[in-house]
Amino acid sequence: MRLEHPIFKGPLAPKLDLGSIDTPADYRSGPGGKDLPAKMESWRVQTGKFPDEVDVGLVSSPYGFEDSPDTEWISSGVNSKGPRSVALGRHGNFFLWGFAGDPSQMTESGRRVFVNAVAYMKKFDGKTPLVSPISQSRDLALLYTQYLAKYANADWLKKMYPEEVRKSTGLDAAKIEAYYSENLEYVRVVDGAFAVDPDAKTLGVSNRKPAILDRILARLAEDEKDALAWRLVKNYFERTFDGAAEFRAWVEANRTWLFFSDVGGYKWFVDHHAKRGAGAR
Amino acid sequence: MVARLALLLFLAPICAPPQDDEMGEARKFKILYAGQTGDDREDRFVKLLRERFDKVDSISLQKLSAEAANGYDVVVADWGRRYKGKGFSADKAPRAKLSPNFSRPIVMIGAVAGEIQHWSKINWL
Repeated sequence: MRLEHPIFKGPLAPKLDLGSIDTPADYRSGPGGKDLPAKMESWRVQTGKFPDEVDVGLVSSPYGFEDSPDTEWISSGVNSKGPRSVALGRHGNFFLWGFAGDPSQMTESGRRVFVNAVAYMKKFDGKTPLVSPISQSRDLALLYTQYLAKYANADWLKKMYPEEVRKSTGLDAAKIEAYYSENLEYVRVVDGAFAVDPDAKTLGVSNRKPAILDRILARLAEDEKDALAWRLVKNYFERTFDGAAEFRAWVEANRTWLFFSDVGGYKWFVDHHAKRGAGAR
Repeated sequence: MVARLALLLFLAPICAPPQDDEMGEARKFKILYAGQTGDDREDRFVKLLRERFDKVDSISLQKLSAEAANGYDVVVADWGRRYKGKGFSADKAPRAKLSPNFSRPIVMIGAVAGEIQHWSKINWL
């Protein structure tokens, strides 16, 4: 939980019913589950037993959730997916209150935080999501290895890894994990599989950090037709550019607001809400 | 008469709505609750919201649209229960889909979050 978040501060001051619970058994079988402590910090939001008294709620994937600047992971909730799943969170003008209980089932602090969340959202009028999820976060290239022992023959799982990776590792979980740990900053999804981008790797620069922009610009300054630089531009930008000068001008005009999103499609995007707020065109 | 007045004065703080000053400027926000009309949940959510906000209206979630949300500061999207001890009933899901141009702030409660939109990162895991 991010207790420093504004919804826990006001306008209503909630007296949070904090405590600890036994770590849910379902969390143990998931990735990283073995390392979880025996007890977890908790806040009682609602009462009522599922399914007789209250419905199951909804949690969202935490993987890549915060890879765009218009998102906030606020809290998980007891669920069957994992301890980082999003039960309270925001993406753009959308807020998830993942708990299904109605106000009569909420604790007093639950009701107060709910009211705070409603009030908090007012400032996001017009702030539609900057990206839509069309791809999987690179974190999953590592996490899925923990499912290999259990689902080694599952096609959906095998397809996550490119053929050359499957061949070179024999789908050995430890080898795949080592491979992606070493190359995580160069990963992008190609045809639904976690591929390592040879161009980013050649430069030795993460494809999701601003340094790659400078490396591309530097190469284009030396050679306007640098093939590697243009492949990177083609792979990591939504729009096309008519030459190095246009690309340079565009990067410089938008640099302050550029961000990289895995789930948005492994591209650099402009935070147009922030740019517009700054009065830039 | 004095006893009755004393009793009224005694009850007044109990019956009074929560203190307005706690909400500050947020008290003036206009809230639209979009849920299952006629359901107990609607009554309970609207009651809670009206205790804290000056203007709270209610419509069916199935009528929620960008146009319906005009004039409101925040929308709360909700729907009735799906389980009630009999397993998940998909046929109880709302027939509601927001359009991608929906730009009002919206708080989505439970399963509704994965049903009325599919273009944010908020969805079923």
